Amino acid sequence: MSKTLFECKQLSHRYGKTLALDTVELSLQSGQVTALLGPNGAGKTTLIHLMLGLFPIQQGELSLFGTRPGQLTRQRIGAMLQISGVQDNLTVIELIDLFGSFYPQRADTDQLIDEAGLDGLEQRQFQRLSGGQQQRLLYALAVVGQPDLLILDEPTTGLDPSARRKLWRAIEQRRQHGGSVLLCTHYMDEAEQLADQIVVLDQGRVRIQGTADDVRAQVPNQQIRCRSSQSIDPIESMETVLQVQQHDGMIEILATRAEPVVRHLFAQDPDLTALEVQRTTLESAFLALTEADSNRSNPLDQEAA
Amino acid sequence: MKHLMSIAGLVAVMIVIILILPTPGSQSGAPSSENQSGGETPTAFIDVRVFDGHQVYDSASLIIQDGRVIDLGADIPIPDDADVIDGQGKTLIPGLIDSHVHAWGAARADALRFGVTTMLDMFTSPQLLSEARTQRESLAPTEQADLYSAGNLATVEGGHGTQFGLPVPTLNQPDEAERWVADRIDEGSDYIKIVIEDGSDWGRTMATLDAATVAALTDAAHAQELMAVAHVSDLEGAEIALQAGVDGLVHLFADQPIPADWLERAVEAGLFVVPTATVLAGAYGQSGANQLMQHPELSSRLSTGQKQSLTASFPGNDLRKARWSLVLDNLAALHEAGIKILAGSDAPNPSTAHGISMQHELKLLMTAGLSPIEALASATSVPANAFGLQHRGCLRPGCRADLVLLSGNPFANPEAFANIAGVWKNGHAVEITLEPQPAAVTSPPPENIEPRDLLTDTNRWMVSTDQFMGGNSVAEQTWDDQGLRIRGELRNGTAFPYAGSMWMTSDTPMQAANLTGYTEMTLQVSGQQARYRVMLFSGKQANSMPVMRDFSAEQMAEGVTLNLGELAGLDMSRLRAIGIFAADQSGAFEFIVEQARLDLEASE
Amino acid sequence: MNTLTSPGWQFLKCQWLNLVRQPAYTLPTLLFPVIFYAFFGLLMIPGLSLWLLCTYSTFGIMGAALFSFGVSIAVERGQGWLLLLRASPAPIAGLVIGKAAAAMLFALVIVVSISVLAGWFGGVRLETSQWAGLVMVQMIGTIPFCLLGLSLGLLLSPNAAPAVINIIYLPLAFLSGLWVPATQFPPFLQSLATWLPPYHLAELALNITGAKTSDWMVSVLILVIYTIIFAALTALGWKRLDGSRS
Repeated sequence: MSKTLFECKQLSHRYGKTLALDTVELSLQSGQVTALLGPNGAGKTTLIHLMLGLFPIQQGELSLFGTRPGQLTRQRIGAMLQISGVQDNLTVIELIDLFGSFYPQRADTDQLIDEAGLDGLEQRQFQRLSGGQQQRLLYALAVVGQPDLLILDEPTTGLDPSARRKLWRAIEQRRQHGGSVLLCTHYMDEAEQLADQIVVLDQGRVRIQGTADDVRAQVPNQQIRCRSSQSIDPIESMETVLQVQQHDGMIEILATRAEPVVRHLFAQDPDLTALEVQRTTLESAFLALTEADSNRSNPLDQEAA
Repeated sequence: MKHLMSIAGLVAVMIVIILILPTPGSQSGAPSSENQSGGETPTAFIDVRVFDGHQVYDSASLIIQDGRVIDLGADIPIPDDADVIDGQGKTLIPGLIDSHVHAWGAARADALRFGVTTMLDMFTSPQLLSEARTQRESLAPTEQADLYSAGNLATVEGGHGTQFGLPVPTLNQPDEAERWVADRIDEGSDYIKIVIEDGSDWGRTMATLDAATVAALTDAAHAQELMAVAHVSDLEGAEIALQAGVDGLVHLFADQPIPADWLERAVEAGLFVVPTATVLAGAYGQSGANQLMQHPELSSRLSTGQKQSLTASFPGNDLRKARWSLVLDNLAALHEAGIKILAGSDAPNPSTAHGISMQHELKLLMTAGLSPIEALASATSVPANAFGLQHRGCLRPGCRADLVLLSGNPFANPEAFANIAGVWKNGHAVEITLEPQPAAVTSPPPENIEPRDLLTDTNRWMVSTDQFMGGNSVAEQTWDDQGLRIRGELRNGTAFPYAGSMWMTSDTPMQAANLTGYTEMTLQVSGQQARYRVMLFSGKQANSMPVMRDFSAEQMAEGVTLNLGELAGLDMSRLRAIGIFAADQSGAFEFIVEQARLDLEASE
Repeated sequence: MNTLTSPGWQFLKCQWLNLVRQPAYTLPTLLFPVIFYAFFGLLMIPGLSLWLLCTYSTFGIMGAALFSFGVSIAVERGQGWLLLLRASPAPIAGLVIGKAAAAMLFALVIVVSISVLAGWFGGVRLETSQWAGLVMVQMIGTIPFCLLGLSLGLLLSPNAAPAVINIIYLPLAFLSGLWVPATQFPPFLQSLATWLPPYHLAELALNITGAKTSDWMVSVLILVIYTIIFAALTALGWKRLDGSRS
C-alpha cells in the first residue's frame, strides 16, 4: 500500500508581515502525482522551499520520509525549481556528472539522457541549448539521483506545446514506474492530465484537496441563467449556490450543482424563460475560486477547512 | 581525466618555474645566457684584505651583485662576467655607520663620499623620515647614505632642543609619555631620543625632563618595541638614564670621572654609549678641522657646506680645553669596563661635518685605547648589532654591498683609514660630484678695483628674512642719516630664524658677480640686538649654503673686519649677496647698518 | 577514480572550466597585476623590484580571490545557480573548496608570472626556498580575501556586489601600500595601512623574501583575526539566504 511521504500540520510561514502559508494541512502518498495548484503568490514556492529545507520551519510541523527536512531528505528528493540557473558554460554531460556526484545512487547517464530527450546534446554547453532543452536538462538534473520524491515547480512555464508534451511524457513514465511527484503548476490541464491528487492553494491556505472530480464537484462550475422576476433571496441561501446576480430581469447563478437550483426556480416561477445551464471548464472554475473576493463570505471556505 | 591532467600539468609547470627562478648563487653555475638578461654584472674584488665586521681576512675575494655581497672567501670561484677589481695592498671594510648625526640638506650625500653608508639621526624634521625609510629599504643605486632617525626628540618645554625654532612637541609629565611615544611612531621615528640636560656642564641653567618622565618615556618606547636612547652631559643625567633603563647614551659625559659602580651597573644593563668624541673635541677646544682639511684625499671630497661646519667653532670652547683629558679618560674607562662603544660624530655641529668627522672619531677612539679593529667595529658591526640593523656593518654573503676600499692596511697603520680609494653603495661605486672649484668665472673682474662703500648703493639693499626658507620672520628697511635702519620681528618657524637686509652684488638679485680682488669687508652696526649674523652668498648655485659668521653686539658696534681670503667656502668670483641679519631669540628688533665696505688689501 | 566522482573534485573541475572557458574574465584578472608590475615595478620605479614583487603579487592574488569569490557568488545567486545547489544535496563545503582551490590556482599563476619578471628582468635573486615561500604565503593568503569576497557576494544584492567589490578592491590595494610602498605615505595613511589585511599579507611576503624585516607574528595574527571576522560575516550572509525571499 501507499505510504505517507510528506505531511504537514498547521504549517505557517511569514516573510516579515506577509503571511505566505497559513495553517496548511497536507499529506502526499508515495507512488502518486500530486498537483499543487494556485496563482502566483499562493504560497506554492514557499511550501517547496520548506520541504527542501531551504528555510527553517517557523510554525507547525513538517515531516518528509518521517523526518525533518535536511541533508538526508535532500538526497532522496530531486527538484526542478522555478527560478534556477546553472553555470552556463558547462556542457550537458558535465552538469549531469556534477549533480550525479551529490547523490549516493545516481542514474545511468545514457538512460537519463534518453529519458530527458537530450540525445545528441551531451557535449553542448547549457547556454547554447534552446529553452525547452534547458528545461529538460534541469529535469534531468532533478532526477539524476533517482529520487523518491520529485518536486517540479512550474516545469513547463514558457515552453511551446510540443516541448510541454515531451516533459509530460517523462513525468507519466515516472509515475508508471511508481515514482512520487509533486507538481506545482497553474495550468489546470496539466494537473488534470498528470495528477492523481490536486491541492488548491490560495493566499497561503489549502482550499481543496482531492481528485480532479472532487475539485470539479467542489468548485461552482455550473452557471444558470434565466428570465424571471422571482425574489433571489431564497436562492442565495441555497447550499450549492455561490453567487446570485439579478439585473434587467435576468438572474445569473453560480453553483456547484445545477439540479436543485433549477428545481427551485421552476417551483417559484413556472413561467420563467430563457433558461440556460452551462458547465464551465475546470480552469475557469479554478479562477473563480481563487480570484473570489476574499471579503465576501465564501461557502467553500468551510468545506476546505 | 583530462581536466585533472591539465590542472596537475599547470601546477607542475609552475613548480618547475619556481625551482629555476634565479637564486643568489645562480650566476656561478647557471648558463650565462640567463645572466645577461637578468641581474647586474657582478663585481669581484680579488686579492684584497677584508674586514667583514668581525674579523680580518688578509687575502680574500669578495663578490657583490645586485646590491648585496654574494660571496666572500680566500678561494672562491670568480664569475666569468664579473668586473674584477684588483685589491692588492688595499683593504675592504663595511660602509661606516655614524651613530649620531642630525641629517638634513645634503647630509646624506656628504656622508656617503666619506664611506659613511648608514646614518643614525638623533633629531631632525620628521618630514624627512618616510622618504628615508623607502630609500634605505631599496637596493637601487643611490648617491645618498641610508638614514634611520629618532625624528623629534623628547624634551621638556623650553628644554634643550627647543632653541632652534623648530616646533618641537614637548612633554612635562610621566603621564604624557605614552601619547608622546605613540605620536613619534606615527611620524615614523625608528627609536626614541630623550634629552636629559640641565645645562650645568655648559654653565647655563635649562629646564629638563625629570627622572620619572624619562622612565615613563623609556617604558613607553619599550612597550612599543622601540629603543630609547638618551642625551646626557653629566653623571647625574647618566644616572637618571641608567635607572630608567634606556638602551644607550648618545653622548659621553665628562663632568667628573665615571664612578666604578656606575660602570658596573651599566655593563650589567647592557648599556651602549655613543661618545661623540668628535663634537666634544670641538666643544673642548680640540677641533680637528684643520688637520682633516689638509688631508689630500679627504679634502678633495669636502663640499663647501662641509668646510663651513667643520671650521665653525663652539663659542667659549677654549675655556674648556683643560677638561679634555677627562673626556679621554672617561672614554677609556668605558672601553676598559667593556661597555659597547658606537662611533658617532654629532655632525653637523660646529667643528664637525658629515662623513669626514668619522675619521676624527676613529682617531679619537684609538687615542682612548681602542685597537684599530675595535675602533672600526664601533663604526660597523657594533652599531648594526646595537640598533638591530640587518645586513649592515658587515661584509658577509647577504650583507648589503655598502663598502669602502682603503689604500693600505689600517690595522697596521691607522692613518690608512683616511686613504679612501673608493666607496660602493648598494653595489655601485659612488661618484664624487662636488661643485667644481672656482676656476671659470662668470663675469670679468672689475678692472679698476677701488674700495667700495656698499651703503651708497641704496637700491641694491633688499629686505630678506627666513620666509625664504619657510619661516615667519618679518622686516622692513628705511634710510636715514645714520645709515640703513632695519626693524622687524623674529618669529619661530624655521631652524634658525633670521631677518635683515642683503646687498646684492649685481642689479639682478642673487646674480653672481666676480668680485675677486676684494680681500676685506668691514661692517659696523648699532642696535640692541645681542647677536648678528653675516651671511655671504656665493658659488655656482644660487641656493648653495652661505658662509655664515656670528658677532656680538659689542663687536658689531666697534666694527668688524672679515678677511675674505680666509673664509672657507667663499667664492669671490661668484659672489651673489652679502647679508646682515638679526639672529637671536624671537621678538622685535631694530638695528642700523652704519658702515659696510669692501676693501683692497692695500688699503688700511 | 573515486575522487573524480567526489563533489569537491567536480566543483574544482567546474571552476577550472569556468576559468578556461571565460578568457574575457580570466586573462585580465591574470594579466592586470603582471602588467602593472612590469610597468611600475620594472620600468617606472627602478630599484624596488623585490619590494614591488611582494606587493604586486599580493595585489594580484587579492583580485583573484575577491573576483572569483565575490563576483561569481553574486552572479550565481542572481542566476539561481546557488539556489539550485542548495536545494540539491550538494555539499556546500565542496563548492567553497572548489572555488578556493581555483582562486589558489589563480594565485599560483599570478605570483609565478610576476616572479619570472622579477627574477629574469628585475634582477631579483632569492633562494629557491624563498621563491617557494613567497608563492606559498600568497596562496594561503588568498583565504581571508576569499572569505571577504564570499561575505560581500552573499550580503550584498547580486547586482550591487560586483560594483562594490570593484570599489573596495583598488582603494584597499592602494591604501595598503601595494602600488606605492606605504612608507612613502603621510603618517596618518601609514598608520591606516597597518590596519588593513593586504598590508599584512604583503608584510609576510616582504619578510619571507628578506625585503623587509618585520614582526611576522603580528601580521599572521592580524590576518587570522580578519579571517575570523570575514568567516563570521560569511556565516551571517549564509544565514540571511535562509530568511529572505530569493
